[in-house]
Amino acid sequence: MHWIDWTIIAVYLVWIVWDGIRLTKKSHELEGYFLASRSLPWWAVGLSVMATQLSAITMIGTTGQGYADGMRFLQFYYALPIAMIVLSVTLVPFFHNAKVYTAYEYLEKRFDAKTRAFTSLLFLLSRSMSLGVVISAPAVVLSVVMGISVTNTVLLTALPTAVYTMFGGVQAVTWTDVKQMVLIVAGLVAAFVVLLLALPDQVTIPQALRIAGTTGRLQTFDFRFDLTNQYTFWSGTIAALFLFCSYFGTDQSQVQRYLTTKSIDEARSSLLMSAYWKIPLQALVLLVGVFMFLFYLFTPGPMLFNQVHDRELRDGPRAGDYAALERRFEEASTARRAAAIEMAEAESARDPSRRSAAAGALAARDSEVRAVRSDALALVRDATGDAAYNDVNYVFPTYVTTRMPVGLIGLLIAAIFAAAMSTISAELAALSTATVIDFYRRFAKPHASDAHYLRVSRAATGFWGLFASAVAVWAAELGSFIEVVNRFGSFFYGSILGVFILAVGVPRATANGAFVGLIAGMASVALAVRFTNVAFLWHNVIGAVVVVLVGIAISVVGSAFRRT
Amino acid sequence: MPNSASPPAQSRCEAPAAMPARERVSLKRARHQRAGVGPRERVMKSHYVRVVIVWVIVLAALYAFQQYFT
Repeated sequence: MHWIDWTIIAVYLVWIVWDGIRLTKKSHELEGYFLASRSLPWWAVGLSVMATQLSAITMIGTTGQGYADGMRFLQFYYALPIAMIVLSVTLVPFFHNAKVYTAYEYLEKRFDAKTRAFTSLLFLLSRSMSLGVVISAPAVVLSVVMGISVTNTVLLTALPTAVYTMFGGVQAVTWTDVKQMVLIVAGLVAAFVVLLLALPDQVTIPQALRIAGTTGRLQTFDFRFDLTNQYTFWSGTIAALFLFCSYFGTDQSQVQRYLTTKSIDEARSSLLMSAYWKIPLQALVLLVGVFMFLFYLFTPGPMLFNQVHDRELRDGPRAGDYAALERRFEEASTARRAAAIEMAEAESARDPSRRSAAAGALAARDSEVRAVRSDALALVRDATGDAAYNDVNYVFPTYVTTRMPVGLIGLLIAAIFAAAMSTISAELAALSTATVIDFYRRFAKPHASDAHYLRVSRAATGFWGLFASAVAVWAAELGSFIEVVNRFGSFFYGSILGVFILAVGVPRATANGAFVGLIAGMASVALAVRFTNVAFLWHNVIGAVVVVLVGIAISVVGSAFRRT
Repeated sequence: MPNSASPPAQSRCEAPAAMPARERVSLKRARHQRAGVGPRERVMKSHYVRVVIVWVIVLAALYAFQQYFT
């Protein structure tokens, strides 16, 4: 990388840490540290919610998915606006009126201490693990770019974030998120414009889109009802509705955001900002991936985007197999390029029969390229023992570092840093809040001074930063990051949502009913994972429905038993 | 026995056209307050409707995008 790019990254890192730390003076008491004294404007909280969700995983994993599979993944977000309305009407007023620090604190007011402690513990377990995955994404990018170990890049990402979160609290988290969100969107728009300008002279943007559409990469709706398929219209609108209600309504990293607003309506407005902007923003991210596909369609690119594995295979005992695959890849890519140019020319000539023949040929050549890449991935998995290896996470970083102009490389790397840090900081603050409020202050030391809790909170933030960094080093070797995070979350999310549905929507639900229902919901998800091929998004539905049904049954039976 | 908290019949009807605008607004506000619907609640409801309308438009645009280019 050029020294200008290094300078941009360094300036960003120093500035963001300074910007976060300078808000320390507003965090001298516990409510200021964890909830910004409930004083933040809705638009800042709304941007913070979006920045927290738009992690480095989105920038790296989702652009990679756009390159490989196209825009199918967009269906995952179709239910988000509806989930935001549901939450604005239901959970948001309850949390605000209860004046709680954590979502789980509300469960003690409604049920009992053990339900609160158990749900909070589940949050701590799942969120600390997934935070590790979130940190590892930019760490992999940086290890590719800088040629240093993943351990070092993990520390380089997590350490500055932990420092400003420790000192500045949720004020620092929110206001740095706002600036980071601006940087992320600027980076994505810059990448998109560069990719548009990189199209060959003879191919217009509509022609390029039609070429992408011919290869199936512009499919944004799949109406097949297939429970084993992750990304269909039905899983995106029904199953994902449960996931989003759970994530935005019961996950402390999100609930904490809108508890910092001045009023219930400001909290609602902050959530509804995502309802308007999330799908268009995600479409932009995926289009960046689709245009990377178009770039590598017209410009010779690597068969494998992970240069480390590429070198290992070239120099290893399977070098002969790898060379044969590379020859096949070059032939298939050349044929695909010719078919794409033929299609563009057929489009220009407005000849339907020629266009139809060219589209058929392009689709067939693209299938050949996919088949060769699939064989190459199988070879990597076989030769390196990395069974979960997925090349898509390396596409965007490789494109940025090898094809972007000087200056924009630094901007994009800084944007990836920003995406990672905005998510890490929010989750560190949430982990610290749950640890201190739901466990330390509730069970260990209930009557200490505010200053004492503040010190413990800062220490807890630092601890979770170190813990998540350790998980990140391990997670860096896993497959497609975004699916790992969502799979992990789906194990708990639906069941926790079920408990909150009981709390808010079922007046007769008892503490025992909620607790037994929660256990039953998690057990049902475990059975579904073990014995069925149902896609992970549907696990949220299974967990929530089982918790509600079992919770109501136990509550009714328990009440009848007490009466007799 | 009539409910003493129930509003007088006249206030449930539309305000006479001759009534000054300020009084008509205040009658409407009183009616909403009795129904437990404050001005902000009504604002939020229209906000939700806007979200749903934008959502439908965005999905329709994405479907049209897919159909046109595929």
